[in-house]
Amino acid sequence: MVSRKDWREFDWPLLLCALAAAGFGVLMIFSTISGVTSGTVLRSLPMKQAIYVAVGLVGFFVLVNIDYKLLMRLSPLIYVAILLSLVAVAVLPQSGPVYSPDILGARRWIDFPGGDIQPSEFAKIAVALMLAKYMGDHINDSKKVRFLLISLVIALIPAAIVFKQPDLGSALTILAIWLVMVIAAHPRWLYLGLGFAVMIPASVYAWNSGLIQDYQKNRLLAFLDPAAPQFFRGEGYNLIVARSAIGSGGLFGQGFMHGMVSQGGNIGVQHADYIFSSVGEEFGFVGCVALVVLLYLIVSRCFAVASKSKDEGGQLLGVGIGGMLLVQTFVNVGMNIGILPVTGIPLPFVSAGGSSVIAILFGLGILESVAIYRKSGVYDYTNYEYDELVSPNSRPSARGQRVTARGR
Amino acid sequence: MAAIARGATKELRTGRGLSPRARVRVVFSVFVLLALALTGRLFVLQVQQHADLSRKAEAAHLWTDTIPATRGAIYDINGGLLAGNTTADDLYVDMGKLGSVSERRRLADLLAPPLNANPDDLYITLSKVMSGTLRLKGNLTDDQSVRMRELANGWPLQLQTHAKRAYPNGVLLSHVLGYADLDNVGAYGLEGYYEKQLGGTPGSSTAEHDAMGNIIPLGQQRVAPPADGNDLTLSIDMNVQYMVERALDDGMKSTGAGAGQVVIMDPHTGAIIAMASRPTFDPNTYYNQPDVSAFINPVVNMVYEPGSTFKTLVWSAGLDEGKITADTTISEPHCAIKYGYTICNTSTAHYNESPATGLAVSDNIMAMSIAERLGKDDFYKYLQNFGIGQLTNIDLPGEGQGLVNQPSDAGWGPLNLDTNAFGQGISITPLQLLTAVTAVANGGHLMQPYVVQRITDKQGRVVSETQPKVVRDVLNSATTDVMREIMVGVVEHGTGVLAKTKGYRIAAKTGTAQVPRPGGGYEGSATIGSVIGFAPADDPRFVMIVKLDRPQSSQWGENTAVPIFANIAHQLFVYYKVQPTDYQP
Repeated sequence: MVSRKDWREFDWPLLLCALAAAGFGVLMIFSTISGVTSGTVLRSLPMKQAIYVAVGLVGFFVLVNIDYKLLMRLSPLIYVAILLSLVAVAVLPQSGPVYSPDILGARRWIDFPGGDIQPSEFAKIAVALMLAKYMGDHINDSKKVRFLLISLVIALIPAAIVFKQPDLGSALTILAIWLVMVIAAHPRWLYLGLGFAVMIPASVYAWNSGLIQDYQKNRLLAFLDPAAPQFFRGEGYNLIVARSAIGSGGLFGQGFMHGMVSQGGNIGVQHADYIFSSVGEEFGFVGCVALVVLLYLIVSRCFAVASKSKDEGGQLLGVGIGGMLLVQTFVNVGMNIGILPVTGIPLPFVSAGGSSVIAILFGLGILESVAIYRKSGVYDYTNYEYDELVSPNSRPSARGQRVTARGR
Repeated sequence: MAAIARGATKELRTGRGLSPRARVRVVFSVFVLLALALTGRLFVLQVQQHADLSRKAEAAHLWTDTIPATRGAIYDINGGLLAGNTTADDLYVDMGKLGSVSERRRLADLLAPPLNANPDDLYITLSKVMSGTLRLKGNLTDDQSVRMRELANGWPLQLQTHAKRAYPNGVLLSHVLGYADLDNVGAYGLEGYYEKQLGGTPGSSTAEHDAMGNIIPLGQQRVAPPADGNDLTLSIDMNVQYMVERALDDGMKSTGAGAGQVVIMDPHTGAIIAMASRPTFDPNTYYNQPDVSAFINPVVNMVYEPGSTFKTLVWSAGLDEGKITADTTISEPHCAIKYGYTICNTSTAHYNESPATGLAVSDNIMAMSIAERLGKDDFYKYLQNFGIGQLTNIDLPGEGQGLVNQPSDAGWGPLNLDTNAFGQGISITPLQLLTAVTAVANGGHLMQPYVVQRITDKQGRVVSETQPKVVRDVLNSATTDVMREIMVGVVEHGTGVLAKTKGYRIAAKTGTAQVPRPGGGYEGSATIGSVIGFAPADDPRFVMIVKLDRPQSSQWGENTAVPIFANIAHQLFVYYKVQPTDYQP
């Protein structure tokens, strides 16, 4: 296998948009904690976030320089390592040098001297990588039931562990990554449809059997009726206030650091899951749309890299990571503006949280590797339909031109 | 969805061979739909609902809990507690958790005995509502609270504790204290008048809450601590107050009076030492009073026609202006015809009387004579200086001003001067008369009466201390020297003889006023019997007014009010260790 880097293919818009979004995130975190008068932990958040972004960028450039095909081959190892770290979260003691703390009834983090990580954020990227490897290798079987089931199991194992932490949001994100990638692999739609048909009684069972915990049920019920008295002080409160804050922003917002609700510390975890409400309050409709457009640009660059990739693994990986960012953006913003129930999903790049932004930058690094290494190697292109020629030196002259190659 | 359809029609045998753009196409079409959904929703929130949501955001901005301030206590002059704080429970039922009809019936039967309620009524109450929280009973007794806490294991009962005002002495001083209501807000009396001082300023806490509404311990939190209310120390002496109330109760019982008031003041400072009214109420259970008029303090809030006690001021004015002297003799008929009205004395005719004899027998004709000698200008000038018909500005709410028609008023006629001279045709509060007579007792100084001696904060620092205040000098000391002897004469050999006490010189003046009818004229036999005086006469320790409304045993003040006056005076001599004049150690 011949690897050839071509830096001309490096997707600069992707990196620049990501940097812009992450920088904006640091600013917004600074704004949301500026109203805080006590709690030194919160006050250090913007600086920490900036450091996380820097760490993520280092990882990004390291991964750009590693041929993604190597990572593909290593993906089972990475996948197992992530599974082990997820298990570690559950089995580590709750105190000691390396431990897994219980924060508000959830154990999602591994704390060690010098910091903490949230393995579920990295699990999203690892699952995308593992799925890209499996689906790419078995793309010929994509119409078979087995293809759907095995790929689902790959996603379901980490999703189940994460769900038990409990972290419904991350579990759903992992399953969403699978769904997006399966759709991109073009399975037999009938099977996928049947799968969803099974989901309906399954979710009824999950609701009634206690698998879905009460607080998760309340979030859904609060979403349906946030003003209900039993939710007013709890789930419903944040929803109402977040929605009010966004609405009070109007067309152009109240100005950076001038959001009444944002500066008043009236929304819990506003620097994290509810940071979009601050954006809405301080930058208004124009700012919100601009941020959504920026995040969508990143997603579309991921898709662009995917559609330029010459092997299914790279294509699916691009779709998976882009899909992940799309789902997280939509679910987080949707939750803030009241069109989706509350699930603790961070807004990519913007929400405070090291693991999230670092994992995403790692993912984008791998994607840039897909972009610059995509012309290397010789693959079996039998029956492929391309928009472009394989040849690095020539651009496709006509859409749908069929190129056949054999090798490997 | 079109993309899916197209993908389906293509239906390759395997997933291989599909254009990468086609792979992305399905996801991309979803991507566009989601973007439209987000933008649309943002437009609705931020442009269409902007005004409405801005208001909500404002409301949410201050999501705070109130931390109630501790209400200031009220102490007597010796530090005895008159009003303090305790806690009480309210009983709530979580109706949503209450099950079937039979369960409600069972709970009603369980709750009825400890709550002293009818089980059937309780059952009806418990059956009316099916959801929410019902406040079943407020201010449980301690026994009830204990029992309800037992029942709360197994029944959806909740007890909520709140601060409650407590008056350890029950009815004692109730009209002066007023009460603090169930929300701990003062009403009537000192509780109402000093609400700002006693109530303090509630604090607030703004705190970050987790998704369940609990305060996050290390989260952001802003606490504005409450400023607790200040304590009041009264000039009231609880011991004297108790003596006074007991004597008033006894006197009311023996005379059959419908109402009565006693006020005792320190003549040198204007400090109120005791202030009692009957009928009374218990501020602990103020809500049991069917009529709010029970809370009104008649001493301060209600006016009456003073009758003959008022002559004290007329005699003083006459002496002070030199219109009469101790040696003046005044010859007057038993009855006099004034402006078509015949005015008579209550006893036989008096000729060549001295002012001392005139006051001792309460001579109406002499009173008119003195008033006429003063003339209307001086007469009303003195009343004005005595504070008659004016607020005393005591620190109690709703003070009555009374009414004295002045010669310049349209309603005034020359007859007014004559009738006013023996205390008719004017209305004053008992406190006004007491304050005026204090000037006679202390050498001529009109004092500003007060109840609160000192205000201290919770750390014991003095916020304010009441200094005795002379409103104005009304009489010369020569006048008061003569008046003292004249008033002692009233007790020694006049209408106040029932207060005559061996070894003590008591100065007083009795009064028996007819009760004016609303439409004019007077009620037949109903009277207001009263006495006002001070003792010991030469160095008074106290000035006292006793007033009985509609006594039954006798219509005369000298038979009804004077014994109460004497009873209290005798106890005060002991309490203040006043030596009798013939005391030989």
